[in-house]
Amino acid sequence: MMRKHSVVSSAAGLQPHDHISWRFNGLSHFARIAIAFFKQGIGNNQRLMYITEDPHQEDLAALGDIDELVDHGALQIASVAEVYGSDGRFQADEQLRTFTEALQQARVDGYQGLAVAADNSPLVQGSPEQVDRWMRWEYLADRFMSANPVAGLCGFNNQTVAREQLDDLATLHPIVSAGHQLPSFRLFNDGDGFRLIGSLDGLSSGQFRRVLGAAPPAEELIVDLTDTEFLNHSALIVLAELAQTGTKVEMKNADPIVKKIKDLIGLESPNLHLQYR
Amino acid sequence: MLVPFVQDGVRRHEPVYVNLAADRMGALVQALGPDAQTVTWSETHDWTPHPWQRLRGILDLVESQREAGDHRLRFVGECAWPEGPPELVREWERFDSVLNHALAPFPVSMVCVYDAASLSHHILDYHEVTHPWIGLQAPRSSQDFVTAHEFLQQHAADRLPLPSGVRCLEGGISPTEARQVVGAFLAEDGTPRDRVDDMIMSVSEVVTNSLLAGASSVSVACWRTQDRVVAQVDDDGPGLRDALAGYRQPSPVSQTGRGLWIARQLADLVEIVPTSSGTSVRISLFDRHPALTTTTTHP
Repeated sequence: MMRKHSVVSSAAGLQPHDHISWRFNGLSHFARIAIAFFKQGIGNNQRLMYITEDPHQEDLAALGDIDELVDHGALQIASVAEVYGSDGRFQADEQLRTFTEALQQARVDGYQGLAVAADNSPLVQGSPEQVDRWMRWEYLADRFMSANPVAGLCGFNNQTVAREQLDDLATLHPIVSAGHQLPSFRLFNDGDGFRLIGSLDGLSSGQFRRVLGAAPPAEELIVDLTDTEFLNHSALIVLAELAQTGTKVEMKNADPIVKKIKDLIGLESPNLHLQYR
Repeated sequence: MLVPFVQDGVRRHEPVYVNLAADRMGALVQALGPDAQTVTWSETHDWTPHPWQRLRGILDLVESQREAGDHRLRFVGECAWPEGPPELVREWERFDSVLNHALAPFPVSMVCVYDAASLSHHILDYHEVTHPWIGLQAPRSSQDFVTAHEFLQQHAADRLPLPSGVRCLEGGISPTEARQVVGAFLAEDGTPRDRVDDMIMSVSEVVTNSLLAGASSVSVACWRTQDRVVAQVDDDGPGLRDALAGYRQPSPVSQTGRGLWIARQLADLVEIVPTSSGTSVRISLFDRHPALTTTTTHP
């Protein structure tokens, strides 16, 4: 079954495996979103994790008796520094271990999974390297959510994160919040590979190159193009560049026009494979 | 007349390619006798009635022969001149001019065959402008010859006013919107799916080029005529800097310059005209490829 992808205007009803990029305005806004998200998490018997730069229990007062939720372990509250370190130089694979252990512990404690609401803005406000580091982590986090009963609400503050970075970050989430200009494409994990949705043309191929460039090194990149509305030569060239670095790139379920363009521009590489329908 | 040219190539062990109308080809095969077996033959309607696919085919052939170690090639070619729309005849004239330019760096001898009995005066007049040498047995240099750059500048398409009553999405159109508009129009028109994709891709590339070149306003219109569907992109951008842009395939390492070339490969006709405010690009898909005219004559 295909993983859910959509544009949502409410965080209510989000389910395990859902991974959402939410652009918010102001910290109280993010808390309101997190509350709606957590209500569903409680309904799904997921352990809730609330992560912001400076989290307070009272942020979530509307959820009910916060003290009780915390005391019972149903809600864990942590700062960005506690989870990701204070210098922003976290390692993505270490981070993956942290969340894998948190999921295991939640199951041991009787929960079905995790619902993580995190305001990640402090980690994407700095240098391009810092943003790249976060993008790399989004790849791993998305795969983790795709394979495990975990829902992730990634908050990004419109007021503190640069516009281009907000756009780039949104491309790595199957679900994005409405009310902003949407990225023209999104790339997310589904099954053994990735699914690419939306459109890639000469105006978005630069972003595609940036986003793919942040991916953790991999032997193989499988991209399912079933739901790709449009893909032109400049996007194919980005994939061919990746193939040239040694990654085996496999495009599945492409439209015949994609094959036609690939043949037309003579993109041949032993690492570049295209299967079309 | 072609026999000595072909025989000379055969004697020098040069690969010889002959591309002619079917009946003319049969006559040449007969006249050559056993030499005909060393020649690669193709029929002009098959290979190919599309000018820019033909240019790509010829250049691919030159490239592959060079890779195989053959340095000098001979071609005999006959354009698939359409009886039909004059704008397609103009396009074949541009093809002749661009072909001459594209082959100039390579050791290729090419003879273009014109059937004086069947072709219009217009076509026959222009062949002296697009070819540096005229005649085969005693070639003379053409007094009227101009370079491809000059020819394309002097022979751009005529003005491209939108037909009256055509609905136009004016200003500020993004490639995404252009694709949607064109896709919806062609779906309603009943255009076959693969051709819809060709048109969407072509329009998208042209709109993208406009915006990347700095246009602030792009308009898109679609309509149907008796024999074709048409999409036109008008912009207020700076226009093409190079008259030869998009006729030849960019080198594999080039980061830009493929969009217009792809549109020309996919669509049946791409006409480009500078306007007072920017550029008009008209992309046509014919329902059936226009009929071709050839008559039987001996080479």
